[in-house]
Amino acid sequence: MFSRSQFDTACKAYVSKHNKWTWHEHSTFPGFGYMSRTTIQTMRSPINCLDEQLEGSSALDNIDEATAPIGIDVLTSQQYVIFSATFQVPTFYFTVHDAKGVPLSLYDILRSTLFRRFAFTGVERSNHALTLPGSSFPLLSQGDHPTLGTPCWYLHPCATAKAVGELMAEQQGKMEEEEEILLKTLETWVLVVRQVVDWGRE
Amino acid sequence: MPVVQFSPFSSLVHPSFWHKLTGLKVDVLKLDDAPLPIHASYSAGRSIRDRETGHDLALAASVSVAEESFESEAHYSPPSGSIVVKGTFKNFNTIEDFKTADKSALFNEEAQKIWEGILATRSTALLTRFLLITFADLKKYKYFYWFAFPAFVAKPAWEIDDIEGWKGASVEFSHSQLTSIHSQLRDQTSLLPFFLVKLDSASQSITISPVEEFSTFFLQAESPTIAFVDPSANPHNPGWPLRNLLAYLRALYPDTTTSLRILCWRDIDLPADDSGWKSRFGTIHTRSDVDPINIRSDTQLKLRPSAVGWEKNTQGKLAPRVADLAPMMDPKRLANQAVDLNLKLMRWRILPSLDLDKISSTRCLLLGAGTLGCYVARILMAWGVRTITFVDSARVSFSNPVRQPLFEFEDCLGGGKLKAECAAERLRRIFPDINATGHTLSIPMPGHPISATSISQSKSDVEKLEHLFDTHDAVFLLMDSRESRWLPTVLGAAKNKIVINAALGFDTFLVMRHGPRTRVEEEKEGKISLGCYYCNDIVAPKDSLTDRTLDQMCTVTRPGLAPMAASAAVELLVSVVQHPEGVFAVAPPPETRHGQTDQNQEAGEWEGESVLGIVPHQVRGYLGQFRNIRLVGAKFSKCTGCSDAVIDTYNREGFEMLLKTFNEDQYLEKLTGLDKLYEESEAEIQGVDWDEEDEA
Repeated sequence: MFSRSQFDTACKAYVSKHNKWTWHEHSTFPGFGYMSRTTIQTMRSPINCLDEQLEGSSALDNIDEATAPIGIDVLTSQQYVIFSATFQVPTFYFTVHDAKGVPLSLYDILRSTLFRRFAFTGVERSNHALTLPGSSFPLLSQGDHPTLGTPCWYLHPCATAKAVGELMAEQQGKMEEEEEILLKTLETWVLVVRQVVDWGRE
Repeated sequence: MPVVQFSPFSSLVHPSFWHKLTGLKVDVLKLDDAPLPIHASYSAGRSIRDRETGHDLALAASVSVAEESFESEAHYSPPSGSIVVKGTFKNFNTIEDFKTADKSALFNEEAQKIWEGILATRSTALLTRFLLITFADLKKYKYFYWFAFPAFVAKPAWEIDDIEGWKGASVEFSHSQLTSIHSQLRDQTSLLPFFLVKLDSASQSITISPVEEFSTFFLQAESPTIAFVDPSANPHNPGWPLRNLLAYLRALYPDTTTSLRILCWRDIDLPADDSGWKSRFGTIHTRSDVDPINIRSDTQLKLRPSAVGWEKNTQGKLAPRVADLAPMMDPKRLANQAVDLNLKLMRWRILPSLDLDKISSTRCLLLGAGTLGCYVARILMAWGVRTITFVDSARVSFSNPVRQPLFEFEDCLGGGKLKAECAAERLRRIFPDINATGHTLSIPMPGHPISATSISQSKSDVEKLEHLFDTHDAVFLLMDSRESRWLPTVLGAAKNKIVINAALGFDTFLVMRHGPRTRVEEEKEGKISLGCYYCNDIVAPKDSLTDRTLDQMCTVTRPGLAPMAASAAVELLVSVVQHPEGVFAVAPPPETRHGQTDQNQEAGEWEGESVLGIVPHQVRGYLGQFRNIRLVGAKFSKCTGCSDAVIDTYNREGFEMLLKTFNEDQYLEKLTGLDKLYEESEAEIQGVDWDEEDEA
């Protein structure tokens, strides 16, 4: 779908069009750039993690009539579009953590607003992967961020090229400039990812 | 009139904050629990649209801390469109200190700083401050923490007209006026947390100014408005920072601030169209005439109002929060998951029906922690086996490390470490979650008599070994002598364990599984019962120094042979475990030297396959020809290792029987009837009329 340099070109075009995304180069080596953004998510159903009670955390309770109830708890999702050298396609990597700074388990991620509701119905779930029954690759699994080396989740890129290719085939011949084609290809990829990820407005 | 209720701040911690705190605690702070300056940031309130209901949901007004929060003010750069908040960070050394700390005192200290800032500097820069106390349980990756955002309580409380209430800013200001505020704010060097808004009645134009210019800016102004960047997204509640701004105005300008027009600025980003403004507007009042008897004196005004602002925990109680990062951060757990994950890749791709749990739960006993033992352990570990136990009696010697991959030069020093324990320790170093142990134990052998003085030691060694057999599922015979395999062969047969045997010659190896004790129904079917290591022998094991065969010599081998044999041994075990019949899996027929068997085999239609393929009885490797050959050896009814006579006697007599074997020459031969067989065959040979002349 993309060569490394085509990926870079497409992303840079994408970033200048969609200002929520930023382009990052690797701190030392060229050719490891990726784009990222931060989004806010919430839980669809309340999270079941209560704070351990500490004895002796005493009565500082002075009722204050001017204090309003707090809003909805925030989840933060760090999202990355990274080039998969193996599959030569963009890959969607992400992390989700709660307000305490604790990364969410897969179970809780699936109950958050990150993914479209019912995006993964009929999928087999383990602690570290989602797999379609009968599929040879997991849809979603854990892996290190290729540039940052931090633990992430990612959507497996093996079926990407085919899906994007089918959609792009319909656009054939309508575009001339290379950068335009590359950007369109990346946007088409986003369209494919949007089928499961609640991409939001950009 | 309803009391104005303010949306409290809620903390938002980035995982990197805990990583940084861990590093700081370990490398810098150590036991220092002095308060440190810290930075955080907040931004305008955000809401999200609920896809199902179409309603906007107000998100909690967050004050964020991350890794860079520990940086100095000059190096702390929050994302654009957010406001820096200074705070005090205090980490306690013990959970007790954390629990018993005088939290009111810490809180009041922080509130006092804000109050003094108001009176002394008349600056709004210090109006929002926070306190963060923590206890980091680094061993458990658990962080106890409590944020406080002190806010002064107005007495009497501020009230808002219940008819008008809080309304959209675009009701009060025009689209172009709001756009003008947006662009004037953007032109400031840094985002103003608080500002004044003035409307020129003639031109209808808007000017903004820092709050510090309150007394001059609003001179003869029409409808002066106080504004602040509002972290709340709730339509009916202004955010927390407004509280201290109001306290500031009341303290410094008591005469002109009983009624205020408030603009809650929530539009850091320009809305898409003129109906998209999220900012709110309201006029609030406080009664100045509560206590008309007391003439407001300077001192009364200068008295610090009480403050509130401890953050509630997830249960909604005023108590600390706990961030438990253990599931994500414990490297052992990460390693554990990664090992499984890697193996699971096999299932994803090649072998969907591979039962990994069956493999990883197989408890393996390795008799011998030498060249074979080291390699076998590593390959078992690669298969995800979690329980590996070594038995060896030797110490690491200088010749070992180059051939035995779990040992190093250092291990040979000072007489050498005990091999079994040392090997187990190395496994744990490679993979901390493994259950690896080592036992230094010498296995008694036939032909090596036990003196009267060492009988009790020998008996306890045997008991220990018996116990190890009981607590494991598979036993690997990886010793360097032939006779030392005898006792484990007997125990394996008596206790029905999977026994995998590996032996090395100079350039040949033997890897085999011992046949199980035959099931009656199988005997009826006429299936071949598989033999053990000793079934092909017509001599009982004895001191091997004078009795060598190809596969029983040790140590002098081509170095590449041991890993080949070890790999074959582990893979044989895994194939046995994966086969539905387990140890009873029927072995494929033997190959000829030319690598051919019967037709079935060639067609690849051997019925007895597991997901991993066939489960051979014996594999002999010939490195000189780079070839492996599969063999099948039937059970021998007079076998000195697994025949009924031997096993039944052991079951009946236990150690007594073993002692006789070790000490009495010809005992096993007599027990099994081998002696008679030998006599008979000798007699037959004598009877043969050799035609020696023709030969010549």
